[in-house]
Amino acid sequence: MVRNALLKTRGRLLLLYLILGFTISQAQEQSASGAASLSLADANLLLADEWSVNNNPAMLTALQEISLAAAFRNQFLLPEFSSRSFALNLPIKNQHIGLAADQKGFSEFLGTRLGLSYAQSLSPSFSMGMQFNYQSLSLADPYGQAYFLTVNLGFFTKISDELELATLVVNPNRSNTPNADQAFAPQIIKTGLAYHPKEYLSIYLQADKQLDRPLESRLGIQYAFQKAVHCRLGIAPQTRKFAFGFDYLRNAIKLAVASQFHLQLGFSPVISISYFPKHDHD
Amino acid sequence: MTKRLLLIGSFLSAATLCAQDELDDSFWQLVEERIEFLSEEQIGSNSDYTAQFEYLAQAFLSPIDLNHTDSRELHQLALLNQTQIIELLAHREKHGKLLTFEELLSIRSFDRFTILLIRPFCTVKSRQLYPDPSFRTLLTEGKSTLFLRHSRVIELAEGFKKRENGYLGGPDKLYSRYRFQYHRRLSIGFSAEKDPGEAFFSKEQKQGFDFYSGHLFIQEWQGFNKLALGDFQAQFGQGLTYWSGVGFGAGLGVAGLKRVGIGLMPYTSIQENSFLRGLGLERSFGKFRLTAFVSSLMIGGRLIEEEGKTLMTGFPGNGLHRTAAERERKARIQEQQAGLHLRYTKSKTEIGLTAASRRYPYSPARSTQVYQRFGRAEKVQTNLGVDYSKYLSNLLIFGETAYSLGHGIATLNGLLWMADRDFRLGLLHRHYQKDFLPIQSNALGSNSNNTNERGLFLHLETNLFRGLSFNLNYNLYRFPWLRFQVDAPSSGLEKLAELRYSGSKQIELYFRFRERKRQKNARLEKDGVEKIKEEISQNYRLHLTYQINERFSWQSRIEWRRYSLQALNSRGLIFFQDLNFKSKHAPLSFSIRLALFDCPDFQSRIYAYERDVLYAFSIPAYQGIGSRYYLLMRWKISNALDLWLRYDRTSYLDREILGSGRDEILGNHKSQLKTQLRLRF
Repeated sequence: MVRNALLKTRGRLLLLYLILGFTISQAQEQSASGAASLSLADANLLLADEWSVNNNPAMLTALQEISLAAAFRNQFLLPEFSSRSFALNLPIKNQHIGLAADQKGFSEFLGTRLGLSYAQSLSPSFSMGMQFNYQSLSLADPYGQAYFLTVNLGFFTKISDELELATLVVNPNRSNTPNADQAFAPQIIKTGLAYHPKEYLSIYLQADKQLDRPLESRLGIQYAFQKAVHCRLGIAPQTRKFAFGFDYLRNAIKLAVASQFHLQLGFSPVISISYFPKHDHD
Repeated sequence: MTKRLLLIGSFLSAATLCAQDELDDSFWQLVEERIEFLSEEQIGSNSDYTAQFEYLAQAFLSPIDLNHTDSRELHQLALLNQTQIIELLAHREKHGKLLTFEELLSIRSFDRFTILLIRPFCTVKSRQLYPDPSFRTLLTEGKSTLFLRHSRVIELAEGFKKRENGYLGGPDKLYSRYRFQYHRRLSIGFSAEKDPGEAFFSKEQKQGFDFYSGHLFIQEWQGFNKLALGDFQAQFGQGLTYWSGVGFGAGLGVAGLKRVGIGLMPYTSIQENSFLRGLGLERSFGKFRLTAFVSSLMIGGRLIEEEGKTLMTGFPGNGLHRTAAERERKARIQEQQAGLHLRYTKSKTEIGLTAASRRYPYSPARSTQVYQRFGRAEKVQTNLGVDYSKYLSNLLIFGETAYSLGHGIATLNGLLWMADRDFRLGLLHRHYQKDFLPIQSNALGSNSNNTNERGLFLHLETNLFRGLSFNLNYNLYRFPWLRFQVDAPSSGLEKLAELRYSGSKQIELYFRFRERKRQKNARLEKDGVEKIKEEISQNYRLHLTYQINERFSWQSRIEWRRYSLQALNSRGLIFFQDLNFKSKHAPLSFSIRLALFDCPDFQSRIYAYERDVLYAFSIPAYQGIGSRYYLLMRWKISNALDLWLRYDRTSYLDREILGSGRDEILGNHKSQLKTQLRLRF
């Protein structure tokens, strides 16, 4: 019922979008984190996949292969909320470079982001990554356009074979947009713990705090049926989100499908496809 | 069990190999926990903790030799409780010197946590490293240290912009300190400080700095155990009869529950009104030790004329002299103090007698406030006290009773039970009459001073399994007379529960719950008699420390706070992430923090310790909605010269003006730059 009401006019849609707190960073999370992350309810800090370039650049150091990935997301099954993302990872010895681009929204509310990441292992159990982002948000007249330059810092450490710890600091210096006095890109701290009790089972626990929002906790569980198939479940109790999904790797292609479910607003499916040019087929 | 001891032993052996030449993360972690307790309990964030932690830092850099130390030195370290100290000394007496550090495991009261805790601060040597030196040796082989510190808030407050009614001086805070030391035997020191807004070498302040302090302190010289000249502190017994300066709170465990006065010690802080200035002597006569001191200090305050008499008010002041009005109150009242302490020590029994007296030149002005009817300072005041402690197998009983001549009595009595190395229990009863007049007291209590209070404090420490420990404090008390903003006799309850995991030296995780219930005046919409209502504050903290490797360490914390009083309910939250880095190849180290805080009002504010330049302590109250970060860099330029740089910035979402009055800053952010140089020669 709520969803039907949303569909009535774009104006209302936009208003709701703003009420729901559609910020640049959230858009980034929603659109550019990939299907695996979404299926863990965004408990993604310690998930080492092609989208780590956005989720936690320090995790790029866990990637051994070059990868290209693209994703499409349909937020609440509304075309106006859809987003398109792209990610490229280039491991060069113990240094890692990542590129990311994404776009979300529609012509009257369009967010675009370009990101460049760099990560390095500083010791066998500790790595650090940085992401530089150029973000823009274009609103219909008379609001105009705002753009931001932000930095994200990611850290990862392996406590033991079973336990890992990571943190991501988004926009630590609170970057202000040059063309709007009061506007600034959100500041967020995320800290997460991963527990791998078995080779095939991983549990992710994460706390996110955005400056002007309540603390959010997330729990994600990943189960590997074989090396090629992963199933995931996730919950974010504060925002009442449930998520699920799976991925399948065959030859050099990985296909991932997931959806989040919000109690009032419904499903938000995402599909992502990744290509590993130098993938070892064994 | 054997396996466990072997494991611990091998770990300790490995730790022994790492010589300490600089303060490392384990030191700062300890300091952080202690200071946070201090600031949360009763002390504001502006307190100076130099004296408390300098000794600890000194022990870190030059560890105390357990084979050649005494109980005073170990008490001053404040890491071991009295039972452990007694058992350690008894073990040494019975079995001779410790051969290795691991031998401590054979003493019943030493558990794994304690040994890990004291490891960086203590050592075991077969020969005494610093045997009785001559006075000439003290002077020729001593080391000098000079600190120069400057800090400044970058955004200019209104008080610095105004020509009239503004501050007399500039916004810079200046601090310099020289200290000459020969280990713990000799200390000669000089400190000078200027706060922001205070005049500096101008017509209002021709002598330069606003505050100067100096001391000469010698131990074990010419038959005297201690000799203090200039500025010093004196702490006796349990802190009820006489204890100048700060005392660690009970939150620190059984070592905090049973305080041990260490007598005289040099004053190295820069708080302007809470120390002694004069002469102090300490000398032993067999099993007796006598301490005597005299002091005359000019403290801040205001003098008023009433019915032809001069009366004092507003003393001792806060040490800030930034305006003409504040300067008028500077050093107006001569506070004279004298004291005697006689201590008898026989293996496991200690008895102390203390007499202390204070004299002001004028009588204090009488307050019209009903809550101040009792407990106000007198022109001349003398307190007498007796303290005791007796060790019976695994039980320690202790206490102190003090009497203000012509006024009330205060007493505390307690016990510590070390059931085994994994279970300790402490209980303390206190009864401080409302007309007891403390001169300088710092005994355990929930009131701002040791008066008008009755209570019972229970502390429990237990080691569970696999590095898991549990601590509990339960503090029940009653204030028989009125207090500030409490217009009736009231009561309170404080609880603290902590579950801590420290599986290895590398990782530590704890969850702490702290609740305080007190009664306070209700807010009335209409005129009438105010009723008191229950004020409840609760803090929930989850904290993780992880030493990744020799170069990196990591800290994360989430803390929630809930506050309620009548209809007022507020909630606060802080989330911070720290990363500390020490370069392997260059003499550089860095500390970085980003904190997000959501504490909308004063009641929901949360304190958190921040790393600062050496011997500066920063414990800001995170209040408002915003973010804060700091960057701290230390560059060891040479063995003789160190440089610290610190920059912090707080940005708010919920306000466009910070502070008020002369401290008002237009804008939603505040930043500070601090520089410190240390020269050792």
